[in-house]
Amino acid sequence: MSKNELMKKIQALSFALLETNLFLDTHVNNKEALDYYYDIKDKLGRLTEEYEENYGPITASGTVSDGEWSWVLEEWPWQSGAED
Amino acid sequence: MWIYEKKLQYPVKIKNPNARLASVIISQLGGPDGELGAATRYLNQRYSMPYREAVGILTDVGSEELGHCEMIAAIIYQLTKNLTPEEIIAGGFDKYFVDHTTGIYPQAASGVPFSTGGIGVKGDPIADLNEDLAAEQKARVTYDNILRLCDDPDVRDPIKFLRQREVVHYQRFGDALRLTQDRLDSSNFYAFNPSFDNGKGECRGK
Repeated sequence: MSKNELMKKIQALSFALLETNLFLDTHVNNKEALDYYYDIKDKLGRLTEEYEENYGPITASGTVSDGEWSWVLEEWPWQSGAED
Repeated sequence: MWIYEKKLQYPVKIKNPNARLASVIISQLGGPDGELGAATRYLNQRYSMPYREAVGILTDVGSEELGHCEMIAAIIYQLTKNLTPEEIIAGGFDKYFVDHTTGIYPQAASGVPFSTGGIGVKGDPIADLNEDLAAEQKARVTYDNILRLCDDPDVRDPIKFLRQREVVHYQRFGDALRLTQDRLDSSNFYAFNPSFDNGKGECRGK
């Protein structure tokens, strides 16, 4: 998957995860929402790992060690404009 | 404690700079119903909130609002990239530009700097959650107004996403208010302030 495709999928799954998180905050016993949350969390974890291995860190602690601190060398999110 | 994620909550990819739009959208960063005020309001209301679900909503929505600050800043950043002085004047961006160049400064569209004067922390769950419900509606109206002033689809897309989040947050704060009222005296929700009276006491003068 290209960098942009993968990031778009990560953004979509992160959104689903947060939306379910907010729902669970006020519906703490909702079984369907709990199952959905952990299903999305697994998928997001796998894609995040794939992204960080190939394209750069999403969190500082996700920086893959390759002799330099790529956390600050990759572009920042507001910099990826329409040219991508 | 917070962890920064190096991604926007929703993509912002704007092709055409537009100083005029930047000068109104900045209000959703530092204006009276903007995202910085939202994050500040919710994250600071948490400490006196007596019920754990409501603390959860304030924590998680407050954190999401920080991500919205970043989205608004990204919109302003991209709308003001590569502007010429002529475009800055023609777009009415000159009054902002003279003080901040194209840096991102939290202010209202009117030029008033960000202030906590527009937010409330009352230390009472009914008062604070009603403040939060109103805040979400006011922010939703501001996004509706921005959409009335904006015909660039690259800008409308993330603004519509942010508008929708106000609607969802309103729903969740409504849940939190209902859960709060379920735990109060159903014959008089105002018999005591559970943030102050430890859930047992009574208001003076009752």
